Amino acid sequence: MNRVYLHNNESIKKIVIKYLIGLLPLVLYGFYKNGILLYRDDLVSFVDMFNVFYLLIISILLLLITNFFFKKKIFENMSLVLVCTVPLFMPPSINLLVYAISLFLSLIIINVLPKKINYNKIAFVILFILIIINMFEPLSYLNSAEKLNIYALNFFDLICGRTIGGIASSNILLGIIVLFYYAFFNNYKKVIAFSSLLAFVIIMILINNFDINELIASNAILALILIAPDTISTPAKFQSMVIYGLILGILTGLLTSFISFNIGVFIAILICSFTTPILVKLTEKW
Amino acid sequence: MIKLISLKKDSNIKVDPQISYFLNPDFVYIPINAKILIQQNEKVTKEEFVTADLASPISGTAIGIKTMQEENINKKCLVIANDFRELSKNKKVKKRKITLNNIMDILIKNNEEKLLKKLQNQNKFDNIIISAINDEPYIFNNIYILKENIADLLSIIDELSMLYKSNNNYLIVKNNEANIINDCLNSIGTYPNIKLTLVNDEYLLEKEEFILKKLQIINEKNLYLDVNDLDTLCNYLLGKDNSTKLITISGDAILESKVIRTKKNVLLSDIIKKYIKIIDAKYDVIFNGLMSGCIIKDVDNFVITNNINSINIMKKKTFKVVDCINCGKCIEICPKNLNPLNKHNLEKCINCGLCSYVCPCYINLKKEVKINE
Ligand code: SF4
Ligand code: SF4
Repeated sequence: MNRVYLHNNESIKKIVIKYLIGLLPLVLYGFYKNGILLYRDDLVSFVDMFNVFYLLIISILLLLITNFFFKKKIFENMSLVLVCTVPLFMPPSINLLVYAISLFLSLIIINVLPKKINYNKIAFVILFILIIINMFEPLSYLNSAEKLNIYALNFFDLICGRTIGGIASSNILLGIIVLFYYAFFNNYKKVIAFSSLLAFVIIMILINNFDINELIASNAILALILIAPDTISTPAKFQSMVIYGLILGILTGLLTSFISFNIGVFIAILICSFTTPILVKLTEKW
Repeated sequence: MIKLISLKKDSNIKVDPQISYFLNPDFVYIPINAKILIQQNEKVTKEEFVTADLASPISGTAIGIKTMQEENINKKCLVIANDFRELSKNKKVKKRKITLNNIMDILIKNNEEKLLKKLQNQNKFDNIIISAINDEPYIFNNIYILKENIADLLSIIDELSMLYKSNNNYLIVKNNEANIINDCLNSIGTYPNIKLTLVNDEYLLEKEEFILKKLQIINEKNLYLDVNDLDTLCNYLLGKDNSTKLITISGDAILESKVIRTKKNVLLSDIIKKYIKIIDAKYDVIFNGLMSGCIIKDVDNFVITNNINSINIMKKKTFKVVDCINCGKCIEICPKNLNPLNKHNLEKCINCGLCSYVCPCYINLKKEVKINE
């Protein structure tokens, strides 16, 4: 049999672990911003301070349950990355029960949908959960302090994470550090991340008349770093990745500015992921 | 600029620094690809052609025909029983003068098509490149040939350089082959026209295309030979024995890896019995390299023909193959800029195996590529 007997030791398990290590600082910052600071100011109870960890634990437990039903193993695909990324982008004051039910339903859906359909599963799950949440109460990404507007923050505070965003997806500075960490480890589609970020930044600056605050005050940058380069639903060839990233960045800018500030990026990622097979076909012979 | 990688290797696999010799097999098995030139029970001498394309590496008696395995394919082979006398009709072969005509004569007479193709109709080369590199991990043939025969090989390079009026003569050695580098440096002093060129231990530098790119002489008129080709030529020109070949038997399932000079067309199992101690109960035997070789289906009947350069005996490993995650590593690594995931341009595939080597899902892309072809 014609087989290669040597392997460079890279495996899905290693890729997933390296990816999760990158998420750790974001989770800890989320705990600081939406847990410790709020508890200090008596805006949440001691138990609620740990919300971000509850979300992660619920996600992992639900993954184990669905894996059991669908006879899948945890390190044989990228689903652990999915369930650990989704909580980061949840609204800080999310209802845990609604989250658990909607995540469970979305995990079942992605398991039963035919493999042939190409879509970004992380963006799909996030959108699904946000839509369900929106059915119960209007979607808001403000935490208890932001609702009261009690802090006087400067630009540096905002860029360091005090801006409005998901429970652990507001720190753009950390996000950029994580981007470089991922870019240096093997299996991250950095071309998509960099090209989409570039296109997004340019389009946002143009649309918003060079107002940097608009650029940083959404989930977009972190989503373009963590969700857009999703390995499965994106093209794999260099040229197609550049085109994919540029289109995604532009679409994200437009949807964030004109359709929905908080969820525009997820819609853009989902739409772009549907187009991957066409893009792959078009660039096949390049 | 070419981007090449170093393969991950197990530093515990060490090779015996001395060459072992397997020169007295009881039988040899000559694959029948062309007309048989002898009768049953006829005596044959060493290096006498027994089929239209192959000579016997021993003297003895043709005792019959048997089906054996040549590179995993069932092949009828002429069995010759050794009389251990090494009788040869070409006993008094003298050193031949190195001229273009003599080289062509020898190569045509001995069916050396590969060498013939390189040298035919040429009377000038800009560069002569002699490579003592083996790409495949744990294979040491070329460097051992150089070590075994450095004086003659350097003298032939020198003569070829005069014959083909070459401007540069490179002898390429990996920079981690410390022993041989010293030997080379000692001997090469007398040949100022030969440059000892050290290269990193990077995969694919054994291939002509990649070493020429590395040396940035791809667009010049080059004569590229590996040490094995040169050794063959050298043996013909100096009237030496060409009935043997060097193979490496290495791996992590054996006690000690060895480089063995063996008669051609002997049974692998005979060599293993004599020299190799297998220490693992479950193992795979692979011929011609862990990256581009194949597992041997029937070790007992496997013949070491001229095309077999190495045997790896490796602990059995099972990789759980999972669904492709579309990471693109296989595309990124391909030295021929192919896309192993689709079917375009796959005729350009050089079977290097790098796509499978990097795949985190352990997908055997090399096999898929070959099937698509
Ligand atoms: S390296 Fe393997 S997992 Fe990655 S794209 Fe190629 S086949 Fe798929
Ligand atoms: S085996 Fe073929 S397709 Fe795979 S990396 Fe080598 S040249 Fe490219």
